[in-house]
Amino acid sequence: MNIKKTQNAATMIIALEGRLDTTTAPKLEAELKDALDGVTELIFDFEKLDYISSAGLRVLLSAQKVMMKQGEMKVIHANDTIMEIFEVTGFSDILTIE
Amino acid sequence: MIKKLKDIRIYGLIFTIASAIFVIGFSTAFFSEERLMPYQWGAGINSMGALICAALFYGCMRQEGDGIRTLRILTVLVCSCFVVNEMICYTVLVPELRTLCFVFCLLSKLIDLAMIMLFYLYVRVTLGFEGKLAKFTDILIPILLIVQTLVMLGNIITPVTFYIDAAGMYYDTSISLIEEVFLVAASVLTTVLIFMSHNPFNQKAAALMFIFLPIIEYIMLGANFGEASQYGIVLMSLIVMYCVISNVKSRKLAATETELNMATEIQTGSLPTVFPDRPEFDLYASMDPAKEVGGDFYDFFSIDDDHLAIVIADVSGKGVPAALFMMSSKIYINDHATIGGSPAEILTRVNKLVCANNKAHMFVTVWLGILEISTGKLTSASAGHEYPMINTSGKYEMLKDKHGLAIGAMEFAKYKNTEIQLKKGDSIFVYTDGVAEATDANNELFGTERTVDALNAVPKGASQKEVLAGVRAAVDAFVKEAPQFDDLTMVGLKYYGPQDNTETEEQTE
Repeated sequence: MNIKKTQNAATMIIALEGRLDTTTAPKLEAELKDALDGVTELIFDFEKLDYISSAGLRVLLSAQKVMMKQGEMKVIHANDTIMEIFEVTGFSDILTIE
Repeated sequence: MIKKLKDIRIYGLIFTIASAIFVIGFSTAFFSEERLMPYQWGAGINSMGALICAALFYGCMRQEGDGIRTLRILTVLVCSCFVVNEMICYTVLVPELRTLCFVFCLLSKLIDLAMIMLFYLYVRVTLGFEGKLAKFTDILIPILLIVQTLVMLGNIITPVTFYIDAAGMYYDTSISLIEEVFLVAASVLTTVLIFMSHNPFNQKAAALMFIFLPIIEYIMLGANFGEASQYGIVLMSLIVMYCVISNVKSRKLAATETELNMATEIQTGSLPTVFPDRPEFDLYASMDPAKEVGGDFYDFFSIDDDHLAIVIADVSGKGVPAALFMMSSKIYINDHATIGGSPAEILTRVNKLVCANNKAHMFVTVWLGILEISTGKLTSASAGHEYPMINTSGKYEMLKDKHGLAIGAMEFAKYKNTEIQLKKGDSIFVYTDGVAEATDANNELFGTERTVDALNAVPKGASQKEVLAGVRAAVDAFVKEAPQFDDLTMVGLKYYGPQDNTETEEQTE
């Protein structure tokens, strides 16, 4: 999985490529740790992400919980497989998906 | 590669390899020049030693843990000794190179001091010295080191311990013995501390080798310090220490593995495997854990004589954290289902409890169904779990039931009940993402459609055990050689309709 992080003032865009699963989720978690200080808008670009597992959802959930206190977070360009996973797990209720 | 180059270890590796190449290349000169002939033997040892240093450095390059950094620096120092030694041999007895010879001799002596200091630090960390003596030594050894270094540097101004005469020959002064003060003091103190520490014999012995082998060799060679083979001995003791350390380490690792296996066993053991033998329904469940201990579970239990609870769940993530989270969720659900209420109410209560103490932000998807055995009414609620497959018309299809958020994700999550009426011969199949998200070598998912097809391919009249085996076989045929990433958990229930159970009711009353 590839992580591309771009930050413009208080807006951070994280573009993921590949599969976000048990093996790759820790990488994203490490990337996000301490990086969210001062960020008020966090955007996950899932255009090139093929799949997300529960371990990946956990990282999103942690980020969501941090962002709830300091701004907003949204997920953009999620494909059908990922949208279905969001629906099934109920994450579509708590995430802002565009 | 750039990231790798930033790592200081890579410089150590480059240094040791470059030294080895340099020493080997330089040694060839020893065979052509008559002046150097007597040092051939030493040159051979130097070449060999530098090579072994490079190999040893590479060996412990990727290792982590107490003292391994010190060991790496020690290896580099020993390696530089071989280079310096080689240079001393080359420059000695050449009048025009006598300044250079002096520099190398001094360098060699300073490196010796650094090695003794590092060795002390190394055993201090790995063997864990304690007590008053250790505190005293911690202060004394650095002080001695500084004094000794100053004495050595004093040789630059005036011959304190050694000098090189006009012919390029090396001579000790009459007080050259003070060179050994630090060595003797550090060796004695370290030896005492090693004996006093609480460590296995092999570790103590390996550490002591570093002190005593060079001394024994020194005596055997007739007190001729500065012989090339001396560093060979130092290197050998380094290797022994390294072996002992990695030996102890791998034993610790094996112990962790055993504990992980036990965790898997405890977890699998907590799932019920004796299925109720009742004429009203056929129930079967299975869990095939992936290699690592994971977080899937199923459960079933009677709430009362007429109500059977069925649970299937999947904890986010893997490993021991997932297993711990799984155990507590399983108990919460069981407890609260037994207290009473509809599945939605039970999941709402469990979610609040789980959220209250969820620092790791873990969550668990749960499907909870309660079957009223006498009527076939199945009430279920889903906390972000996969859609169940139901068969109420002779064919399995996916039931898009009402979904709530996975348990543990957010405190305010709400759940809704889904009710279905099971008739005689109807069945339901619930599973975890290990089934629908089983992946083949091309990263293609097994998917819900293939799951439905696999269920429908099982001959009618088959037992639930056979239904589950049929799905498993279909998944296996799909993924082929691709490794199983996720736990594969399934529960199947077939309802046979109410039985004449007046007799049993009378008995219980």
